Amino acid sequence: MMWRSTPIRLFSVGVFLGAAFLTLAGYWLLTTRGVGKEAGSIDVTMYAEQFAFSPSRITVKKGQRINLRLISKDVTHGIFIDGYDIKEEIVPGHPARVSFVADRSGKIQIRCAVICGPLHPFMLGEIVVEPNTPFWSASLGLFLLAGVIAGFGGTGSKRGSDNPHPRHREAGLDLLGFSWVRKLFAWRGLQFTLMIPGLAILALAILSGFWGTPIGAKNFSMIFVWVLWWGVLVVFFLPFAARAWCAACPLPAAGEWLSRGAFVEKGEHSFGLELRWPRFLRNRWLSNIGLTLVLLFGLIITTNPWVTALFIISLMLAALLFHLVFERRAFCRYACPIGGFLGLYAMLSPLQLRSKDDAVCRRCQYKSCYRGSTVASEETGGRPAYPCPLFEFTSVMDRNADCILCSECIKACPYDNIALRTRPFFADLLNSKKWRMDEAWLALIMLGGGLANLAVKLGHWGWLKEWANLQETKGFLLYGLVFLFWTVGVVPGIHWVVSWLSRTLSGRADLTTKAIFIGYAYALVPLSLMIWVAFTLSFVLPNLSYVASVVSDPFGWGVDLLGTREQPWSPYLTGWLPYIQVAALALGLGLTVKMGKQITVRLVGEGNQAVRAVLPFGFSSAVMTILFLALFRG
Amino acid sequence: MKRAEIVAGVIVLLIVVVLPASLLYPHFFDKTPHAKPGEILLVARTYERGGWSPPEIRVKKGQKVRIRILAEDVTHSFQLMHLGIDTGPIFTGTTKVVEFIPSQVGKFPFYCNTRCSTRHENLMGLLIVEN
Repeated sequence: MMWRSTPIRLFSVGVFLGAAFLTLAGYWLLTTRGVGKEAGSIDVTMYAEQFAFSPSRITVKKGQRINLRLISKDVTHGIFIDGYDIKEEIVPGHPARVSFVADRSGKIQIRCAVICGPLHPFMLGEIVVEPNTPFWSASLGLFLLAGVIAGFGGTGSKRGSDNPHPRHREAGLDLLGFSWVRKLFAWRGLQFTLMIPGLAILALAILSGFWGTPIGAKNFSMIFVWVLWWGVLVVFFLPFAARAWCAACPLPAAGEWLSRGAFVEKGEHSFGLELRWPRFLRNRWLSNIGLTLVLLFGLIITTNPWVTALFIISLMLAALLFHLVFERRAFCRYACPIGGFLGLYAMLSPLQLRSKDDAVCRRCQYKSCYRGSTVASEETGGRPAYPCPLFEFTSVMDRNADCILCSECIKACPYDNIALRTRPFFADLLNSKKWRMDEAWLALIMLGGGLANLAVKLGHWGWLKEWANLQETKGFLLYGLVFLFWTVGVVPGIHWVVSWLSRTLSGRADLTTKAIFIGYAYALVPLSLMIWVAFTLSFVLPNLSYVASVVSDPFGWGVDLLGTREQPWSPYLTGWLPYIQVAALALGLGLTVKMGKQITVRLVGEGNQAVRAVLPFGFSSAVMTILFLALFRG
Repeated sequence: MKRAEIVAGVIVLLIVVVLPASLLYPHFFDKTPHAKPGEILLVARTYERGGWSPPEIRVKKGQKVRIRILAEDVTHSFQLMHLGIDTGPIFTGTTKVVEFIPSQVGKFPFYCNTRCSTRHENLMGLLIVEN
């Protein structure tokens, strides 16, 4: 159903147009003064020091020739200029000279090109070529995009309020309909086979973390965990089947095998206390706290091989302990900091495992998907299978948040009543009956923590990196306070104000701000996803070429297994990064405002009240996105 | 026990026992675990992290010496003034090879000639040429 054209809609679009106009005015005022005539050249002396350039950000005019004289204050550094593919070493005592014409406006990222210590991958500087038209026009575009989506078009919701969330049961293609997929999922060895490559990488990562070179860029643990695994997780798993990673995750392997007393087959005797997980912790709060801490210590964890090894071991030990004390995979469902946000993004994946026919489930006397197979269920046609490790009952499961696609229920079901179907993206986020405060906070942490993470790692502020790297206690405490204040204070605070405004504008006094707070948090999931995709590509692409040298010398010991250890560092596609970042942010913002609209309709109903109510959310999302854009390209 | 369990157990054993043991044993118990045949592997570390490894290299007079220098933590270089050798910067994680035939018996200090830390000047090793 289309929204009627009304004054309120025009007002709504007007607000965004106003913001766009202000952006334009800001552009004229701030950047175009005195641009044009004075091309010529500019000489800059820049010092390189662990782990920043100083000045870390310089401003030049478009068309100017930049003559950089680079002097090292400590050890050997280098410079790589994104988009111009200039690479020079800066050896102490031998100033390097780099000269190029800044013929394109916008921000140029400069990077250290010679490994200079643990934080080397994050030693970045900026050259802003004024007028920074790309940044300002992208900001303008984002405001207009949010305005158009918030103000025009239908809600995208074709369902009545009496049926808020159809289960898309018959909609998609059942992948289990292909006989080879079915055979694969019915095979008991599937999960073990998926876990084995991860386990081998994990073992190597722990070994290289403790006994390999402390220089991350040349250490297997850093490159395979934080470049390859993280890259694949964010770019391929998160948008398509986030929690499927959990089925292949080697972290709970030791605990699960021990408690099951078997690797592959269904064991006869289980091992451990098998206590029930306490009711008050059956939510995401534990993993929210864990995730916040991981983000807080993110720079230390991702730049020190031994800290990564320790991190992996502590997660494995925690999982093992959980398996010995509690039943099933309580760790994965309720405590794992990674599993938590994988569950959040799993809700938007275009794939879902569900029961086919409710009636069959109701008649089923075994419930072997939840309880595990029994002799009787196996005689009826089911295969030997464990109960759902994440405590899901497939018959009533109506969202992906805690389905890891481990295939136990597919094996267990005696009636072949389980389907693995394709479906539209984002379906579970609109499942308003299951909205929860803990997940809302998780969505906000992914957004707020994402911004802090971006500022620390890809910013040009060397002092901030020093603080976040625990080089001095006072600085770290200050950074920690600001990080926590921002992530669990400011961002949720703004979100609360937005929800309150939305409630006021909608005129629905019967609604609580809390309900709107929770609902809108789910709408932020696509935005935070695309922000993490943009951040991850901005970090992975420049550092991907280290893989070649690390596979030949995983420990940095000087061996050369495959003859590729001397492969030089070559950052990939850095000239494309600005476009990738802007496109990712625009996609994220567009989807978030669209979701916001659908969720608004769900909360306050259709009509003018919805147009009014979505206004603060659309506007704040646009502002938030532009804040990220400013970090990337401003 | 079923065959699948035994195969799986063997694979797990390979990963958690055989892999670590086969990697760590040579590293800690062989004399020069990572050098190529005919080469001496010299790892350059900052003075604060322990300096040259090994700190002393013993060679025979009149026999060709081939040293591969690995800059482990930051960029270093290898300078042996008595023999007129200076590799220039060896960038972090890469190696350079020097080859020479010592013609004199004695002890010759070698240094790093690319500033690598505040105590860069202390980074010294010894080449001992014997008969």
